[in-house]
Amino acid sequence: MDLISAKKGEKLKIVGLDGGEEFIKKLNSLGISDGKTIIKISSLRLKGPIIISIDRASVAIGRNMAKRIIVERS
Amino acid sequence: MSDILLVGQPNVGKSALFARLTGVNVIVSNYPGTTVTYTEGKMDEGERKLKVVDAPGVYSLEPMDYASRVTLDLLDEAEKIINVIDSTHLERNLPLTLELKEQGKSLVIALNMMDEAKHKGIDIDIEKLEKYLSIPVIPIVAKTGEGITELLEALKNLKVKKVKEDTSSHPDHHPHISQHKKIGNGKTHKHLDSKKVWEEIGKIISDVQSLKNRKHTFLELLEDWSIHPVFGFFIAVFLSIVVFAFVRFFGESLVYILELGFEKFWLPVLNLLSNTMTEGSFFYKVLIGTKVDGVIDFETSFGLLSSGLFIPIAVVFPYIISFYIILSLLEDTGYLPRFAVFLDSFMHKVGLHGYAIIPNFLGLGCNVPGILATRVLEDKKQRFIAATLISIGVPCASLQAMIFGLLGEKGILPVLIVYMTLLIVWLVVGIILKYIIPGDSSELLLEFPSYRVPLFKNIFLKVWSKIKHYFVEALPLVVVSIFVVNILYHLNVFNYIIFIFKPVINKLWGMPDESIVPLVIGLIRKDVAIGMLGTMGLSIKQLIIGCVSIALFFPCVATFIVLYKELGFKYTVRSVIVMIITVTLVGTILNLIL
Repeated sequence: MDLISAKKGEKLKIVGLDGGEEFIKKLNSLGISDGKTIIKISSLRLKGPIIISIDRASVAIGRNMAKRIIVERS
Repeated sequence: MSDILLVGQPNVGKSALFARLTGVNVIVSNYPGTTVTYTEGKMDEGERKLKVVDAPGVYSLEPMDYASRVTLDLLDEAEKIINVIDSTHLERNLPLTLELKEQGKSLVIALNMMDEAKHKGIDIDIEKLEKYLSIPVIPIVAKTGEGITELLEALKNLKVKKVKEDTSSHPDHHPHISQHKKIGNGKTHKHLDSKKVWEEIGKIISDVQSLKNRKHTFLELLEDWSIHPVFGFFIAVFLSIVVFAFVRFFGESLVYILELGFEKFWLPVLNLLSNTMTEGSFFYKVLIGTKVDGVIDFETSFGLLSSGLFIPIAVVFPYIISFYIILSLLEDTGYLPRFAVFLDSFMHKVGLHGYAIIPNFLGLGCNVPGILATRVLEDKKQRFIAATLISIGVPCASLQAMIFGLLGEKGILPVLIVYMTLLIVWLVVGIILKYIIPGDSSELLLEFPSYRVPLFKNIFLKVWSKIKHYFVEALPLVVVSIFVVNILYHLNVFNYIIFIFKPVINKLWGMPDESIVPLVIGLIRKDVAIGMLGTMGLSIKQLIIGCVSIALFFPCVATFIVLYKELGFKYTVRSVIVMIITVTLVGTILNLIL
């Protein structure tokens, strides 16, 4: 499933970043990469960003990016 | 070429350390992207003076946006590098460290915010970390100066390595730039494989760092609430109201006090001076201006010593102070990025993303830093849209102070009409630009800073630097523009300009001929331009159209210069065309519907 359909508060493992090299590099630079464990903490209304917790930091991700982040329950 | 370069991820305290090392006051805030260009300073090492450079923050050695490209260029020319790390987020900072290490430069690590790490129950084994990285690691607290002596000592002992030039491919290119170019060809590049990097970091972290379980602090609870879909939204709305109310109330009170001061102490002096001169002579006009109903009027007489002092000091200055007090507080607590996420979907409508609200917000103080801050945006399209929208639709504090001063006494409605018009124009121009400018817009991706209690000293320094800037750079322009008005009037130059622009001003906007004068003066200072509108005996409708068109029309000279520097010739021309079309249309529409 993608990050948008994942449930809030659940521990998730990133299993794929569905995009070009630029996209992957951008996410990697913030620590979002294959195999990492994250928690989805918030999903803002009106198609707002998704907020995740990763390495004890919170990161906001625009919705179009979030739907290309593939996760599974860990 | 720098002797020492500060490199690190955004918002780890590079600028705070820079200020410690050099004694130069730089702007320090609590959000990623405060430093968008580099700052230089000098530092003593024995008898030697070293050049220290503070670079914009980067997450990795990939050129993502303009600010990070600045850093990459600086990196190649640096002799020694201090890699500043936020010790509360060690694992997030290490990828950059490993990349820096790979470049083979002389490196020392400043592990910043050790006090905060301790407070959060994070324990880092410095010696082990040093062993893993084979780089000297010095724990510091840049805010208080703890550990700076040790850092300097480590720097001094650091040997300058000679980096082997990779001359095989591009002899003149920077190593990372040439690597970057290879990416498109699918060839391997020197960057580390991300999965391996994270595995290595995982290993280091589990051995070096230990976390104590403890309760959430109050600030951390606030962090959670302010990004909650519902509570966070209400906090955002509430804070917006607080900000507006503070700026209004504090500004207004200060205006009242200063006005009183001018009437009581300065008016008698002016009256004395006025008695010694011949009314209506050239010098009288330049210095004191024109009497209104037989008395000197600070708002409308328009001489250098009357309105020339009164407008910048008693009307505009109070709002500059109050805006920057509140802005500094917002910047230092770390709230701004959280505010940005709630506006993300709204900002998408104009082809931007949530973080673009920060440049726009800074623009409400002064368009110049606002346009500079668009550097945090990734692509050219977004930077063009944001910079254009700021220079057209975001009124700066000086302009707003004057609009309030002029229209406020006619009631709240005219002020509201001006603001609503500007907001609608901002939105409509943004939507149109989003569709006509080619290219995709990138998405919001940002890391939230931890909340911090602002330091009084930092707030004071920031507000002070803004005040100083205002008096040193803006005030002389106010004086110049009032001087220019008087000279141009004296030489009858305006008659020719009126002749050219009469059709637009007169027929389309329904404004009297001479209102071209404030529009022209708006090129130098917009606050003075609005002040001039007040001297012309216009109707409320004409005042509204005048205020709106001065706000929309050509940015003031300072803004125009940065616009040109940031966007380049081609895009500036486009921006100006958009401005001219917008102001002509909006003036006409207002004239028809009001």
